[in-house]
Amino acid sequence: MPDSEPPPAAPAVELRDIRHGFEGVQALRGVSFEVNAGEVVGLIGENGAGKSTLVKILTGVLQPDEGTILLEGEQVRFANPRAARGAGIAAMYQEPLIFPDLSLAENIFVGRQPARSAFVDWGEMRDQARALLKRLGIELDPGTPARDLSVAERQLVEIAKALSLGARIVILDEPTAVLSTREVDRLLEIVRRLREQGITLIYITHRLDEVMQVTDRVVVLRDGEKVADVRTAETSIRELVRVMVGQELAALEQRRREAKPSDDIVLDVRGLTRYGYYEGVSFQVHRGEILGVFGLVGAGRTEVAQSLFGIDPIDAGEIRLDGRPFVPRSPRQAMKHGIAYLPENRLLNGLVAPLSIRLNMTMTIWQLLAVLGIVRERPIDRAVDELANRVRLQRGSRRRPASTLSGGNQQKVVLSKWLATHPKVLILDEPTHGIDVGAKADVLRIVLDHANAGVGVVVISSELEEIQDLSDRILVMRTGSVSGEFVTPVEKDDVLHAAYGLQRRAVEAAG
Amino acid sequence: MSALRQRIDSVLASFARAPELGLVSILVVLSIYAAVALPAFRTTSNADQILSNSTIIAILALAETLVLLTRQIDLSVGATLGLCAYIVGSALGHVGGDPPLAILMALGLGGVLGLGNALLVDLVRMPAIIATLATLSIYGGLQVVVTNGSQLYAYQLPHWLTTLYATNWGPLPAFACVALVLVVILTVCVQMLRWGRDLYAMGSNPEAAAVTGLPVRRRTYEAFIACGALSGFAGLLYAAQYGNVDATAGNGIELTAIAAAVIGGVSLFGGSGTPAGAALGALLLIEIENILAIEKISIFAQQLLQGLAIVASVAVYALVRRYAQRLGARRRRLQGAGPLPTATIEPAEAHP
Repeated sequence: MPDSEPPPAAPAVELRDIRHGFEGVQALRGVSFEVNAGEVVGLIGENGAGKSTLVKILTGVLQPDEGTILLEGEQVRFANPRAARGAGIAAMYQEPLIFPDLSLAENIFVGRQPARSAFVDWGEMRDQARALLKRLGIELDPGTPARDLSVAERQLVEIAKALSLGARIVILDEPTAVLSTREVDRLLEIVRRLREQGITLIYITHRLDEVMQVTDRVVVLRDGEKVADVRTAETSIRELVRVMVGQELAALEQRRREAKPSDDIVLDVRGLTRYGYYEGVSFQVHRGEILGVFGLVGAGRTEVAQSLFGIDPIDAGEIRLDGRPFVPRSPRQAMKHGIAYLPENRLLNGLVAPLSIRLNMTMTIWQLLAVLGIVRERPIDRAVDELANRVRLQRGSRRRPASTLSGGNQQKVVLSKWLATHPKVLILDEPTHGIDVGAKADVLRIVLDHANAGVGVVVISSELEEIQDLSDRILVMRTGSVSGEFVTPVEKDDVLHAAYGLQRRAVEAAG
Repeated sequence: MSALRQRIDSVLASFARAPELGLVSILVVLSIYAAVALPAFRTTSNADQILSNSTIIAILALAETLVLLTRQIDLSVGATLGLCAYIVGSALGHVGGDPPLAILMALGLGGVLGLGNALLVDLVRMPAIIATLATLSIYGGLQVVVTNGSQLYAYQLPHWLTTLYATNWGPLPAFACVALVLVVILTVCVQMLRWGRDLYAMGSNPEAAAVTGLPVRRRTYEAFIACGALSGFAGLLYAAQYGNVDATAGNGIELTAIAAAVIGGVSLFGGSGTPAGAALGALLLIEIENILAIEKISIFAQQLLQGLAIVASVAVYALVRRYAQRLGARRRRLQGAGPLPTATIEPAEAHP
C-alpha cells in the first residue's frame, strides 16, 4: 500500500468486534476498543470476564473467530506469537519465564546476544543491558544470575527485553498480584516512564487503586463484553466496582444451618508469618463454624493454608489446636492432629489419577485399616461405600482409575479422602473451582453437613457469592495480611473493598 | 558480622559461582599431601601417567557435558567409544591411514551414533535416559557382533597410533595436550558462541527456551551428535592407549564419565557447569585412583571412594550454593522491604 499513508490520528491498536469461543463457551462476544499511542489503558474485569483471552489474541497465541485488529490503522493478523512480537507487541506476565542459570543481561538478549565476528561480546551485552535498565530507571547489576532476582526484578527484565525487541505496545498482565507494596510503586513509576517515552501500555489488574493511579482510560469487561470505556479522571473506584460486578446484588440465601457454631475455638492462629508470602495473620475458627477466606490471587490465602497443613514452613507466630500449641511439621503430622486440607489444584496435588477410585478415597486411612501392615479388602470396601454415600459419588465400579471420572466426581473423591480422617479442622482451597453445578451443590452441602456436625471449616474461595452464602464469617486477605473480617450477612461491596485494599470511607470520598 | 565471616562469605560466594575453583583447590591440596607423603607420587613419570590416564575419561566427560547442559543425558558414550575403537582401529589396520583420516573416521562414526540418539529423543520422543540406555545396549551389542569374539591387537594398528600414548609433546604427554586443546575449544564454543549459550538456556529453562524461539530441536541434534563424535574420538585414543580392543572395550566407562562431569560441577538438571570443570573432575578421579594404587589399597575400596567422592562433591556444591543464595536473600532483607534498588530518576532521554 504505497499511497495510503495512515492518518496521524490512527490509534496504536484498534480492536473491532472481536469474538472468540472455546468449547462452546463464548469468552469474547464482540469486544471493540482502541488504545492511542502513548496512552495507558487499564483493562479490568472479574475472573472469567475475558481479559486473558483478549491478551492471547493480541499476542498471537489465539486467533479471533471474528473481528479485526488494526495497528496504526492497518489491519493485521497474527498467526503466532512471533508475528505479534514482530509487529511490536509484547506481553509481560505475572511470573515471567527466565533462565535461572544465565545472567540478567543474557536473559534479555538470549538467542541474539551482541556478537563480534561470531563471538558473544559480553562487554557490549552488559552495556546494552545497563542502558535498557537505565531507561527504566533501575540500577541492577547486569551480571546478576537471574536465579537471584526477585519476581519484581524478573518482570523488569521482561520489560527490558520487550524494549530491546523494539516493542511499541506493551501489555502488562496482572503484574502486581505477586509484588509487595514498594515493588508495586516502583512498577507504576516505570509505567509512567514508559508512557513518557511514547510506549503504549495496556495494563491489566485486579487492583483498582492502581488503575486510578496510573491509567488514562479504563475498559471494563464483564462476561466477554465491554461494559464500560471511560476516562480515568471521570470515574471512581466505586463506580468501577459497580460496573465490574454488575447490578445484581447477591441475594443472601437463607442457609440451612441446624446448629449454631459453638463458642469453643478449635483453631486459633496468631501472628502467623512466612516472610515474603504473608505476615501477621491472625484468626480463629470455632467448632461447627464455616470461615470463608476471600482475597485476590496472590493475597496469601493458599500459602497460609499450606503452612497450617505443614507443607510450607512458618517463620513466626503461633497456632493452637483445641487450646493446645501446635506446630505443623508435615502434612502427615498435621493430619494426625486432625487437620485436613483439600488443595487448590486437585489434579496436581489431590488425585493420584491412575490409581483406582477406591484406593484414592481411602489413601489417608490405609494404615488404620491395615493389620500387620497388610491392607485388607473388606474394610476398604466398607469405608468406600460409606464415603461414596456421604459425598454422593457417581455410581459405577470403584476399581476404575480415578482419571476416568468427571471433574466434579474427582473432587468428591479427593474430598472423601480427607473426610475419611474425621478432621477437626477441614480446610478447603477453591473446592468448587472448575466443577459443574450439580457437583458444586453437593460439595457445598457436604461442607454444611460437616459444620453442623461440629467440624471447624475454612473455605478459601475466589467466588464471593458462594462464600457469602456459605460462611458464618468472612476473612479477607490482601497482599499477605488480613485486611478485613466480616460476620455474614455482609454486602459484597464491603468485602470487595477490603480485598482491593480500600477503606470504606475513602471510597465514599472518592465516589 | 566479623571481618572473617565476611571473608568466608565472599569466598563461598565465589565458589558457588565457579565450582572449578573449589575443584582446583582440592586437587592442589591432594597433590601436595600425596607429594609429601608418598615418594612414588613425586616422580615426573607418575604425574605424566595421571594426566594421560585422565584423558579418555576427561574427553568423555566433555562430550557428556554438552548433552547434560541441555538437560538431557547420554548413557551410550561408553558403547560409542568401544564400537568406534574397534571399527576405526580395524579399518586403520586394514588400509593403514594417517592421523587426519583416523580422526575423521572416529568423529564421523561417533557422530552417526550420536545422531541415532538424537533421532530417538527428538522424533520418537523418548526420554534421553531411556533412549540412550537402549542405544547403550544396541551399540554395545553391535560391538560384540563386529568383534565376533576376536580382538584387535596393537601390532595391527598403525605405528603412530600405538606410540602416541608414550609420546611427549614439549613438557606434556601428547594425551594431555589433546585433552587440553579440546577443553579450550569446547570452552570457546559454550562460553563465547551463541550456539553454546543456547545449550545453557535450553537446560536452564526448556519452556522459556521454546517460547523465546531458540532453535531447540536443532541444538538437541547438535549436542547429541557432538557428544557422539567426541566419544568416537575418545575411542581412537582408547585403541592408542591399550592397543588391545575387544568386545568389552568401554564397558561401564560412561558412569565414570558422568561422575567426572558431576564432580566437576555440571548439573544433571542442565544449564550449569563448564568443560573445564568436567575435565578437572576426571583428573581428580584419576588422581585419587593413582594415590590409592600407590598406597596399595584394593580396587574395591577404590570404587567405594569414588562413590563417596561423588556424594561429597555434590553435597558440598549444593550446600555452598544454598548458602550463597541465603546470603543474597539476607542482603535484600537488610536493604528494606522491597528488593528493588532504585536509581534516581533523571529526565527521560530522547528515544526513537
